[in-house]
Amino acid sequence: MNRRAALRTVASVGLFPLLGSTSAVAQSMPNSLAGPNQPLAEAWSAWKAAFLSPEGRVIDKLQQGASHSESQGYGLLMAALFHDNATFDAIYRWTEANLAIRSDALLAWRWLPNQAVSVADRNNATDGDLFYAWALVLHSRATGMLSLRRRATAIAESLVKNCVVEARDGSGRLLLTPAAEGFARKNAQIINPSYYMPRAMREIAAATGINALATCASDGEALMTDLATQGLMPDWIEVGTSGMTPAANMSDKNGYEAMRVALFLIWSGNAAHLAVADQVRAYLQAGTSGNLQNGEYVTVMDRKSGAVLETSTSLGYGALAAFSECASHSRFGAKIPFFRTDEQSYYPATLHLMTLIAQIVSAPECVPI
Amino acid sequence: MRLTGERQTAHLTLDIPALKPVEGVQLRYRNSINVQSSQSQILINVNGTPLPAVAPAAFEGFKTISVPSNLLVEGRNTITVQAKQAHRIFCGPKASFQIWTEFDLAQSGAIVSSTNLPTDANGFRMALAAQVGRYGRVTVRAAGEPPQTFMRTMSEKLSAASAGTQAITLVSEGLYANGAATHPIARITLRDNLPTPLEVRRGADGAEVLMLNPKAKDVLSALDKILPQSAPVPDIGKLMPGVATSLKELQFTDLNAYNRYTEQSLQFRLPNDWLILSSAKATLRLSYGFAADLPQSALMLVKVDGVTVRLLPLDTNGGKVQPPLDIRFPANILKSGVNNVTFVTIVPGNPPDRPCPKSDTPLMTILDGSSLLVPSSPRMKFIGMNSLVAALRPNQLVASRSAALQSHIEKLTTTLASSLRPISGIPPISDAQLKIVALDNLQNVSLAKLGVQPRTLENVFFGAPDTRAQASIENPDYGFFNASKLLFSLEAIGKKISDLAQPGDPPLKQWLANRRGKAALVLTDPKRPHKLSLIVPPNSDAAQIADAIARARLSSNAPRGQFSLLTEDGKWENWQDASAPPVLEEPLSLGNFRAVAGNFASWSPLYFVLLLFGLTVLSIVLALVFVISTRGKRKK
Repeated sequence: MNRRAALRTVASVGLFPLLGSTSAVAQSMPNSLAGPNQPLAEAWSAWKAAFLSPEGRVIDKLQQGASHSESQGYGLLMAALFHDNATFDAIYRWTEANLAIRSDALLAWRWLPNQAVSVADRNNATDGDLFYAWALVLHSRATGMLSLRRRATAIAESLVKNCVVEARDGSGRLLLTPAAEGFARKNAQIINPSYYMPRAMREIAAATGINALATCASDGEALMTDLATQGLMPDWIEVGTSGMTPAANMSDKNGYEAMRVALFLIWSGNAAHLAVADQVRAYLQAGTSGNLQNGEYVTVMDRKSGAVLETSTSLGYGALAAFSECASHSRFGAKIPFFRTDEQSYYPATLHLMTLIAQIVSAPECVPI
Repeated sequence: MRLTGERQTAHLTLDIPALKPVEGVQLRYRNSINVQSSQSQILINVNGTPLPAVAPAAFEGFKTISVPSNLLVEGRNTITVQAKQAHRIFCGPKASFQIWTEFDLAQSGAIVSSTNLPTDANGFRMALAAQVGRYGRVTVRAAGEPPQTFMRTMSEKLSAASAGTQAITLVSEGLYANGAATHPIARITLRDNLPTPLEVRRGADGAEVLMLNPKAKDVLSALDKILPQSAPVPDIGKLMPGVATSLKELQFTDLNAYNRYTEQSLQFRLPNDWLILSSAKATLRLSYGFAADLPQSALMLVKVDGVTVRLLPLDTNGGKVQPPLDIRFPANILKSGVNNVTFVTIVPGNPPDRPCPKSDTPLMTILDGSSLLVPSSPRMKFIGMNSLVAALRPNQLVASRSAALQSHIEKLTTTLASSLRPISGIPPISDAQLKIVALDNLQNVSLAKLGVQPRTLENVFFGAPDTRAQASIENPDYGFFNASKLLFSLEAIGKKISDLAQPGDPPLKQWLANRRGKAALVLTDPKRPHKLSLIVPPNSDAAQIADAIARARLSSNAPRGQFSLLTEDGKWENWQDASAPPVLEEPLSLGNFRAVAGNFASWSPLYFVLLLFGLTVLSIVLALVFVISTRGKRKK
């Protein structure tokens, strides 16, 4: 029996203990996010109006109008959190019809409009599958629909089977690969730290019994602690027999991918993580450098020096920084910009809305002021 | 702010709590296309220091005049703006209206980078003043609806940020409400679990944010340090009846008329218990002068409360101060509370189809030694709201319950709290009350005593004409004799007698028949003369209504009588119950008998004649009884 087969066998019978988990018991989202008077109702309506088609497709106009498994997963998760059943059904139906076309339970990573073949590449994107499955778990819990849990279980099984591997650095850690294919190197594995969403992984594990995901979450957090000693979180990193090294031809910067790491860690109840502290320090350093114009937010930084390489005026990136700063210092009130969709595209707007969700769920003291 | 005419001046005040973050002052202006730039100037004076004259040239949009920061002082700064303007082509009253310079006050003021504004009490006060000046509203963010009592207190406190004649609207938003395209300058955020009673922070949008814990014990005292008790609003000049009072004492400063059409207005306040209905005369002793050789037909109208009381020619004998002129006018034009005297100068162009000759001397000047003498009256008044609105205080507002409009009523009540700052020298009335009532809740207002039904008010607010009240107008061609003609004649005679008995406004229902408005102030019960109701329809604009009430407290355009309707163009139209006699508030004596009798006679000539007739008959009867009884005794 090879390692992957062994892993699959163990996972399927649920023998992995929840080792080293920061949140060993999976928590459901609080009811404060649901109902007609939920605080983010206005923001959610604006998000849907801007980025969601009536048939349930989440559209990223800047990416050729594409829909990704990631965006469908984000949308489905928010619909589940807000108990917006109609939207949940629409997104779910569209995704199942258009992206659930692989031989396993995972989703194809991208759907493009106006193409002869809308899905040219059937590879998956692990984070998309993860958020999608998490949304199914939450909605199944809220509605009692067992079919959704079965679907989530199938996705979790496929994830563990295809996208969870043991690190070759001798640590014994499980790694979450970015996709089923394409990121394995000779004696190494490329990973994307921002694809780890520990809270989602643990809740899926708790709901489906696929405990390898919870183990993988804890291993990922430990890996990120090691990575933080080298500098800021990278967009991509190679983990191999010689340790953690930059992945060839992939971004080693702290950029549009890595910016999600702090958000997901805080959302997962791990605001004290070293990666969060480093990210916050870099944000503060950029803020006091005098190089940022009013209304500009950091998007890309050098991992080692924290030097600002790119900025943006999209509010969502400012929301990430302000929320991280507040949550790591436990200060009351945060300079989180108020949500808007008229001046920002799908990606920063979605991060913005997820930041507000994370704030309500995990750092209630950090209300936008 | 628009400065119209050949020469117009405005005085602006700018309060700067801390000078350090201020980079300067900017004034944004634009001109009408008719202004001849080479012959015109904008003169700015900052705290007594004149700036170089600016040739107006903003014909295609707003331009900026910059004021250097070294002319500013901490505290109150006075900026005087004078526009001297010449028409390109024409001269005359019409041309005078066509030349103007407009200042965008929302875009004018101290320039402070939001990042330089200190996040402390001074910084918040500066930001708040800018927020109120530019937008007239302040957002309050809170989880759920903020407590109304707290909102009303905040509204009252925030009124210090305005001049007192502008209402401030508090806009309630959720903590996570979406952002707006326009960035606020200041706002308030309420959080129950804030560790301190309050603190000032900067929001992501650059706004100065006053964070408050409304449940903290000492939040109000902490708030006093950031927003101190606002000073009373300065009152207009008060006129003492029976004493000639100079226009200077009445705070009249707009002495010179430079424009071909000029209105110079003086507002003054008469005592609340002053009432003259008789033909007694008031006297304006006018000292004035006008330029020599003004064109033919140049004239000045003197108006009292909109009524022209004298027309003075300005085309002869000019070039000198005229001998004082006594202008006597019926004192019954005036009323208790705020009145105004307006001088309207009209000087035609000569010739009208060429630009006016350049001149730095006024066309007409009123000397501030001119005086106004209003006869004293016994302490009398009609039951009405004349004195009530100016004396109201925020704690005398009551929001009525409304099934459908509770939120609207609460919002209006909160906004009104910002518009009722005390006026200097006007004491509060302890039992005064202003109840805000929604149109759907009129069962709480006893309109029956006023002779109207809720339906009548619905028509006033929603525009449906009251056909029943209009139906009596007809004039058929009657024959020599028929019953209808006789009836019509009798009705006409009856109306004449009725008018003689009760001159003044017709019954309220009839008075309202062709009127339309957006809010009404009503004094429903004459026995409770200090209990006022403000009735509003569901679609009313809270800020507009509160603004109208705030302005009315210092203006002759004010609610009076028992029913006052706020019209669409912001005027208060007032109804007085003609059947209610004036009330004497002092003992009747030999000294005041004549004036009191005069007022009653003027209120109802018929009743007065009947009273005299009755007294005469009684006297005759008594005399006859006396004569007859004494003759009988002599026979015995």
